[in-house]
Amino acid sequence: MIAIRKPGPLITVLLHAALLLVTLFALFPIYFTFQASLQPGNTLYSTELQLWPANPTGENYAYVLFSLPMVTWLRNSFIVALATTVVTLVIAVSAAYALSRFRFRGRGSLMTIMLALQAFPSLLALFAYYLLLNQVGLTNTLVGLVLVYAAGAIVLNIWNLKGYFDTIPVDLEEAAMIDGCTPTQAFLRVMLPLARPALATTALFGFLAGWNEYIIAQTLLFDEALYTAPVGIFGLQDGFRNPWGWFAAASFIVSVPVVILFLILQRNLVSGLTQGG
Amino acid sequence: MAQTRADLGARPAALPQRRDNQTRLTAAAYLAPALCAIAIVNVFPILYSLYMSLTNRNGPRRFPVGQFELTGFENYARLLSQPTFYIVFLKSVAFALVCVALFFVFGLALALLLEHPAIRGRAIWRTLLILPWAVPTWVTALVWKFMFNGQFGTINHVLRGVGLPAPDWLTVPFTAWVAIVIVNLWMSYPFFMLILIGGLGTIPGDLYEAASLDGAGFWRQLFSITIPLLRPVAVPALILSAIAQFQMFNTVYLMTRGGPFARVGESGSTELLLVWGYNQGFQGSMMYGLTSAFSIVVFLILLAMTLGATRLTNATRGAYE
Amino acid sequence: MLRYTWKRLRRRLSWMLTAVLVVLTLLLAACGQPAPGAPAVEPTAAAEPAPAAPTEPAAEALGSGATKIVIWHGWVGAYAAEIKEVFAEYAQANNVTIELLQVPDMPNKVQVAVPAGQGPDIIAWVNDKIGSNVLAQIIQPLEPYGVDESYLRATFTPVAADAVLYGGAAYAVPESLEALTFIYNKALISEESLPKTTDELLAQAKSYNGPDKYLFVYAARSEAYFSAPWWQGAGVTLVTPEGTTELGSEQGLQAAELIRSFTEIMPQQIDYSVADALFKEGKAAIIMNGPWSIADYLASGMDVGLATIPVVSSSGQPGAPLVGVKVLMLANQARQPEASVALMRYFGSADVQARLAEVNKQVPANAAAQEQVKDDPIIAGFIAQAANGKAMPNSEYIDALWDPLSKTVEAIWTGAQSPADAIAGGARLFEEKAALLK
Repeated sequence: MIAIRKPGPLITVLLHAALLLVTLFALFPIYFTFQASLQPGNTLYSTELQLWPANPTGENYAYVLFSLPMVTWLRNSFIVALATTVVTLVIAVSAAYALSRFRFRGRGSLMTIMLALQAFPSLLALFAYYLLLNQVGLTNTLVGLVLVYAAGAIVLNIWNLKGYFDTIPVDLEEAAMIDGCTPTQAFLRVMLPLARPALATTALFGFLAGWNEYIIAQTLLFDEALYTAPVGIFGLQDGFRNPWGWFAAASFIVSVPVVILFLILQRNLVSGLTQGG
Repeated sequence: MAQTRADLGARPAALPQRRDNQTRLTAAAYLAPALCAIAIVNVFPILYSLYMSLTNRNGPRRFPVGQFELTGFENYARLLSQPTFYIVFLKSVAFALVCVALFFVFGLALALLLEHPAIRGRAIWRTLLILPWAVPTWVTALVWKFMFNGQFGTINHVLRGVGLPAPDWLTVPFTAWVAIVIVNLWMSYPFFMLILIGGLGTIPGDLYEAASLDGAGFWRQLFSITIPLLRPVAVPALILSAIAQFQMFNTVYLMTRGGPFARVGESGSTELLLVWGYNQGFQGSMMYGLTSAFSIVVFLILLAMTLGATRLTNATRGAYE
Repeated sequence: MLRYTWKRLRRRLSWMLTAVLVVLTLLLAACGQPAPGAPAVEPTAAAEPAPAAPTEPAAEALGSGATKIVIWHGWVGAYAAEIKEVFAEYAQANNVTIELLQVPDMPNKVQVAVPAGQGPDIIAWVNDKIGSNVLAQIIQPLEPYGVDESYLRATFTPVAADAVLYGGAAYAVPESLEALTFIYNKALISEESLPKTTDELLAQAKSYNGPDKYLFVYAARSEAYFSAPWWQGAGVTLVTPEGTTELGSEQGLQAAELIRSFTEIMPQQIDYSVADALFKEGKAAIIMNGPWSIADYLASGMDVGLATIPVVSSSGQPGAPLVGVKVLMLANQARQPEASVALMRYFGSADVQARLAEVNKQVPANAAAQEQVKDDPIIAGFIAQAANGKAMPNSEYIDALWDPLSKTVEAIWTGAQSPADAIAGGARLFEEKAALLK
């Protein structure tokens, strides 16, 4: 809210205190995971409040990274997440462009139908995904996984991108077309650069769709060398026991790339999301 | 920059449409990949579930192909005659409403706070505050589950330390519900905070100046200017988020598996729609027919909500442009 | 102003496109196949890709023979390491390749993979899944490959042989027996002062317990399996072969009352991890747990002893845990059934099982192996406990038990329902679920 007078020192202090409190709420679980990952002995259970392990150790990281095929799993996750990002971007951008710039019958209903299909709780139909991919020989492949993730991610991204494209003035493309560009050239050269925040947002969502998921991956993959990181990490569970130290270390490792991505893209997020809404 | 784009958006954004056939062809080419992917990956499971829901493929005996047959609407009848189904549904409605309302209030409060002129280091605060969004949901669930532990959890260590009552969060029906709402808020507020920051950016500052001159205070400005002008940004997000809350599974299942179950035969206090369906169908009992019927019913409910929601969204968008 | 912005953005576009291209190229090189459904943005990038499969060895391949046996299992840690060694030797000696894959969520996974012809040759799991796996045609009988009832009876202990026979046919080769038992910390309690009955246990706990100090803990409220000793000790048959339960009986009520009184001597929120941590930190003197936990306790330097679960006072019978039998099953559509069954027989042999027992402290299913290792105090403890237990049913109706039983226990534990209401509700829920399995 834009105030006109300069706020007094008391207000300033109070507002910062409030912000600090919320930031603590936001960051504590992340910090907690980090300190837990330094805890030796795979147990987190202590009857006293512990904010830093008594004898911190890197052994959980060493175990997770070197005694497990974690590097392979992370690489698989990267491949899947990047491929999902690219596939989502390409499909969603072209579809959103068509929906934003062309007028044809059924345009509105098409968008509604796409959104409506998202209402299906696909989680309860894992069996169907399996059968489907099995028909085309894509079970137990990362490609199959990418296909499922991308299909899941494109609809909302199409909506978001379409909304964003709608806000970019069409004159620029028209000018380019008068200069001799085809609509496609005008789209690639004029529109895409202007839509950068929305593209970044779409890329981020595509990446997240591939990086974080584990239920579908767990159903579709049965080769340890193809496991994505979350599937591999859940495999560490041993009957009734949760090896907390390994979980924490692995969780931290898995979260770092996403955090970095957020930090890079966050400037774009505000406008990329708002305009498309 | 955001204002500029909003202003420009006021112009109808279609390219000049010349020959209709060519337009259709180009549009079809652009749309084809998306439609193919959606038709294959999203539509097939729906059709397959529809088929399964009409069979008696329940239990291992009727699991193998050839052992089950079409039996009509038996699974639907069984599902819809269970009072628990309706209770679970209402619980999910309550959960979605509470969560979405919290997301909005919390997100707006933070957006206003971050945009307040007194705040120093805005970019840093904002960066720190969106970090929960970056944490994978399963990590979130596991960490919070541990922090909520009644005996050893950090939250109760702190509560005991300051002399407050320390409940056994995840084993008491009400506090377990509160816990999953808190966790959900933690995961979801950054999204709302960001879009509301964007939304605030589109509100012309002179409106506030004029209001101040008229003597309107903070709350008056909030309800007369800020919230109404945030509608175009907030309403679609709220609706989509509400629908997403109905699909909530992962985090809750990992934290509570739907429990605590105070009474045998009744649904657990955090047993939301999908958690319940999963518990019914996949707890080692191979209830494919029943689960498929459940997923079709949930689909139809959410479908109705989505259609209603898009109508609402389009209406607001039309008013905005 | 707009023109300026556009120019700036165009400069950015060039590096953005470069980045996308780099990513695409990387992607194609790494994952090998052009992404499905995606129109190629840059035709040059779609050049013939590198091989799809990662270069790392697939799963855990042991040996190098042409015959490949794939095993899906849930073994972890040192236990898995020893089994791998045994298999590696076998693979070497018999010129086969054995591929081990640890599979999370096995019961759901075999349901999708096996009918599609993508399952393993051998499924290593617990015998409670035999019934439903037979009905669902996930596994096949072993008789055509030379494992029959007479071989089982001649080789394995009676409990183990019964555990793998379903409808009179042999469906698995048993590996080891698992049962819960009392494990105590010798630094905190002596063998003589261990409670002999549940009444003694409760009374003793009330005087022993203090802040952060518990006589007895176990995964009381979260896992149905851990409540079995009390139900069965009180005289309840949890699942009959006909698909009924005695949970709601008078004996059931006795057990339910006993479980309710445990809520007075343990922390409210007790699950496996909490109980385990209390015991390891020396805050609990006795824990009820299974053989998988022993290595951990010994490794943390504790001096632990084993004792059988005390007599349930209401019936005068000893607490009777479920004796689960870990087994190897032959998957339907196994590619190498003969070689797989040969491997199973080797795994069931006395030498192998005795060797595994020494490392893993498990109770061998093989009778001769059990004889060889019974002097080990820990194995002896579990053998004695298993003798008091009841074999884990392998009927498909066991699937109808877990959920109702854990809800019954939780209802008793939270106190929201009286023990009588809880068991009545549990029995009703069981009947509903069992009816769907018929």
